[in-house]
Amino acid sequence: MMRNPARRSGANIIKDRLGTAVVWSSGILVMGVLLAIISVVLARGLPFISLEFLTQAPQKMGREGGIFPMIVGTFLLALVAVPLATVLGVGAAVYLAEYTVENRLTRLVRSGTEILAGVPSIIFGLFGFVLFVVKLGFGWSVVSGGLTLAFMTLPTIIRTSEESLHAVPRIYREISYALGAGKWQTIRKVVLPTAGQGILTGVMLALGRAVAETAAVIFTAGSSLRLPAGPFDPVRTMAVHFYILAREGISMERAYATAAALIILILVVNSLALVLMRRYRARF
Amino acid sequence: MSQAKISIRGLDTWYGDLQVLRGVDLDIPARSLFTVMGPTGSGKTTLMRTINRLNDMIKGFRASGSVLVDRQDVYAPEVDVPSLRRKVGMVFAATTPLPLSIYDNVAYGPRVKGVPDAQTSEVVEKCLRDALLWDEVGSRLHDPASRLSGGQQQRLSLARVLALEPEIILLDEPASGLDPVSTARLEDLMRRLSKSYTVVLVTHNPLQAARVGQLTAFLFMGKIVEIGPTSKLFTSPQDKRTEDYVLGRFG
Repeated sequence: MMRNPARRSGANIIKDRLGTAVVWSSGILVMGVLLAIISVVLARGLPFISLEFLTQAPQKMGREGGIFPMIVGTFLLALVAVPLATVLGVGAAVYLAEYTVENRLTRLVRSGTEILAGVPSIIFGLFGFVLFVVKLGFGWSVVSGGLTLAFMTLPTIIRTSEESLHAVPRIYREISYALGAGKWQTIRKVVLPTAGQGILTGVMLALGRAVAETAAVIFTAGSSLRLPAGPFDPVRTMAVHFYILAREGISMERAYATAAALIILILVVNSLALVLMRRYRARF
Repeated sequence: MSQAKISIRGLDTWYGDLQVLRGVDLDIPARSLFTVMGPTGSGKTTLMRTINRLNDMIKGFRASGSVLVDRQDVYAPEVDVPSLRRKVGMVFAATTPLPLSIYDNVAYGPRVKGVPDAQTSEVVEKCLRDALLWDEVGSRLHDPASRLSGGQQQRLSLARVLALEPEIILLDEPASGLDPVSTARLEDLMRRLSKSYTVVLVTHNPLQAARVGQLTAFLFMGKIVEIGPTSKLFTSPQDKRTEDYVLGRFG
């Protein structure tokens, strides 16, 4: 009697099912944790969000009033940090990917970037404090905070941009050169647009980090409750605000409300990014 | 001095320590259809890429000997490489177009050169017509080029090259991966183009070499084994290796 070779042994079937179960459980666990965090914060915070809350300034150290200056602060820091990090980061990535050959120096730079990407944000905060706040005399300000966040998110942008550039098929560059284009023309017209989706992902990641960062911001942008009048004025972001509210026991309701507003902002930004990327992809 | 459009003497090329071409001597007459045939790995692509200096892109590439186009050495220091690459257009073996629309693919060369937009659109239409592609894409010029079939993409590559107003067209295994109908169409197109341009075809398929071209050179392991009128090379080859190759004994 011939044994059906397609029939798997009992042990293999069990292993297969176990593997599937493990993978599914991990996925469900991760989704579960994410949903739990979001729903707890939204449940406790949404009831206290109102139009007044979002458009008014805080009163009595944040015990009453709204979070308008904090919303502005969050946007301002992102506005300084993200464009700066993007220009520097993409520029560095283009240099590494297109203008150098793979050698010991480029590998060193790449390792350095990877290590920097893993440095705890509080260390960037201290670095920013020493350099921008004290040494350069900017004080606690939008500028100090923005610059610090820029440097903090720079490694991520360099890494994702460089990978995206490397992923551009070689044939595109060859075709471009064969049609009489120079190196910079090729980069501008073919390589960067093709790598655009990956680069955008890196920028979105950086934006997400800039918006949610606390430690690096406290040490560099300060914690003033007032609306900043200029770039050298201190400012408080939403993340810093609800940290302080919660830690000092000032107002748990408003802490949760601020956290809820922040989570909604992050979700909106990420959804926008997804939409942008999908439209981009549809073009090719 | 040779009157040929392309004149190569004593060409040796290396990728690092690996020598690929050995003492290649070749004269390609103007406005002809010239075929370079040989098994994979014999250096055909290297030879083509040496003529339009695309091998400059590769680190460790070296060439010695002379490569003359219109009696001008292409490796002379004063040569403007982008201009050279517009004069010597290349169609690659891979049919992949640039990740742009059909229109933008053909317009790429003229735009890089700085041709104004009004003129560019005329050039694009003319080249698509010359490449026998206009009827199929004229109504959807702004569709992504990636949506075209392999045969259409290859004709698009040709249109893209024609937009440069080249004098020489190098085609590196242009029919690889194409069905027989598309291949026949492409070969017809090459014959037609050879009346106005110097067309050089590279192929590993001796049957294709036999169909196409007035002159054929057999390149084997980096050396030119034999050159001659196509019919003569196939009916009475001088070298045993040529005979073995055309009879399909190897390759």
